[in-house]
Amino acid sequence: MSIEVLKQELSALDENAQRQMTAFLISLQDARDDAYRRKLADKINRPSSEFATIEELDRRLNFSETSEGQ
Amino acid sequence: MNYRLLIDYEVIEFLETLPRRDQRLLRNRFMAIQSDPQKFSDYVESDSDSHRLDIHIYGKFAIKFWQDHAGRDIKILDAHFADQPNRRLKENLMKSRPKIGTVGELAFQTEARHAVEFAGNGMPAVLSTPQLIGFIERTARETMAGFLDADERSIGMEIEIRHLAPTLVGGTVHCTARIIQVDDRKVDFQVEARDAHELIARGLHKRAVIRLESFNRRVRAKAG
Repeated sequence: MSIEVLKQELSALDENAQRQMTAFLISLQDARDDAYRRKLADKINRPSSEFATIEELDRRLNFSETSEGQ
Repeated sequence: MNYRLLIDYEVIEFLETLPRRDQRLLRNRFMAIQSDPQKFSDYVESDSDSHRLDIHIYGKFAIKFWQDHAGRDIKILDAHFADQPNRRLKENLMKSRPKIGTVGELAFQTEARHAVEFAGNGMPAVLSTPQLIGFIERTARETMAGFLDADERSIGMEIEIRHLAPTLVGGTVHCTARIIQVDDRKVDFQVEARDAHELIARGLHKRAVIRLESFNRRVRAKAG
């Protein structure tokens, strides 16, 4: 099956199925990338203190609490 | 469900590259995932430790998140364009990938200002551990400098050193840093220092590559 046919088939699916198929294709690519999978594992194993909270994200992106981010 | 939302800093760096509208959309989608993570799981994949993490497709973006049911956390691990999966940092950072086995060297003569601050009263003036670490870190930094773009720097993340033997002020110390692992933006070094007599220190050091613009933005945000 050519890429064009695959794209055509994909676009004929409903929105939910398109999302699931896209996510599945991404997972196939990820599965071949050991370094990336290790990186994800490293992030999962990191303590919570090494992540940003939503408040920190808002500060970094200059979202005010009451308007832009909401 | 009262999950706490935690966002990886690389995800924020990705958002910083996007137009304002996309930043807002993704930010709000993260909040929606926090409220009802099951609803936004389009596929489940596993990492190298067999954790099951969720992929959500949101317009042109893919969001990867992990539900920590024990810790009651939702960790947003990655966000990228769905048609350019997870290659952003690897492709764009550094003008060339540091080569494993690359060795950098630096030699210095120990001066009085490098000595332990408690020298005297019977304590000889010997090279202090913090000063030695500073030289070792500089050796590693200079080793990878040639792999970086002009707007990038490497910063220290971890250092684990055994200071094995004293070096008197006036003695010359040779430091070496060997690249032993490269994982995306992180580079691991095996480091050693020798004086004229013996091995005086050895250990491991990890550095991360940062972009000056985003690093400065992060520092400014912290300064308020």
